[in-house]
Amino acid sequence: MKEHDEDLEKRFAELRAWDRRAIPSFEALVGRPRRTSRAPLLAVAALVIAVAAVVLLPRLRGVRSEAVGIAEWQSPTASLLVVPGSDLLRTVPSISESLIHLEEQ
Amino acid sequence: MNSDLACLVAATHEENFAWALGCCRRDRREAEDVLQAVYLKVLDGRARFDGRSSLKTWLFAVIRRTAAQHRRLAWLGRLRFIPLTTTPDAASAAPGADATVEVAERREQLAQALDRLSRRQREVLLLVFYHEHTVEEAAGVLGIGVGSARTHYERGKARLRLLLGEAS
Repeated sequence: MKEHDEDLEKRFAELRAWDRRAIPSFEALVGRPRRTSRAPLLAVAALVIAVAAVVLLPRLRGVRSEAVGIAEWQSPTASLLVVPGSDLLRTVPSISESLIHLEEQ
Repeated sequence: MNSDLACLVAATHEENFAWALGCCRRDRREAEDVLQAVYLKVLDGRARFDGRSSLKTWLFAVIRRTAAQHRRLAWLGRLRFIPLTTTPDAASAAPGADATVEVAERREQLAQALDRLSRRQREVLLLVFYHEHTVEEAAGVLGIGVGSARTHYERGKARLRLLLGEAS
């Protein structure tokens, strides 16, 4: 297949010869400390967290305000239930309690 | 560490480095990082040779994949405005180191022309002309069909000749 490609073969051979002049040894390459940093991975992690925060925070805030709204809800007609003397109805006297109370006095 | 495998890998070290250099667009520093990562993967057992191809073909495929991963990480590094770890090829940057200026110029023309080819074309041509693989073996390394490899080979050759013709 390469019968008529002597020109290219020659050029590639020159490149190959040049490249092989300064190759670090196998042992040196395996034994040296790694240069590749984890910075790009940390960048991705930070990006994911930022995106998640931007997307999720408004939703969480919405859910919270909904819960607070339900807890604090009051009927618009609640004021009609307040009548004069309603305190007496809320505090029904207990017979035993009033006896003790009298004894103490 | 599997010492038998280490010996086999070490025996093809020069070829491996040259292929890593080709996969890293002739950036020596990046090629060293990629090859170190490959060796550690192989020796730790994270990359396993299953015997479906020759050891060299398998190793070349691992180098190619690792270089691609490295490129992606380098892209992310750029995204964070981290300066790339690339340094000019110290050997080729040394002026007057060559016996003849003409050979150096031809070599530089070839490197630049290869850089302008598509990745597939560059890889096929490097495997065939530089590493003296057959087109079938190159297809195995690249994980593509033989027909596809042959097309990249023919088109790459034509374009390379055109680029070299323009340069000279």
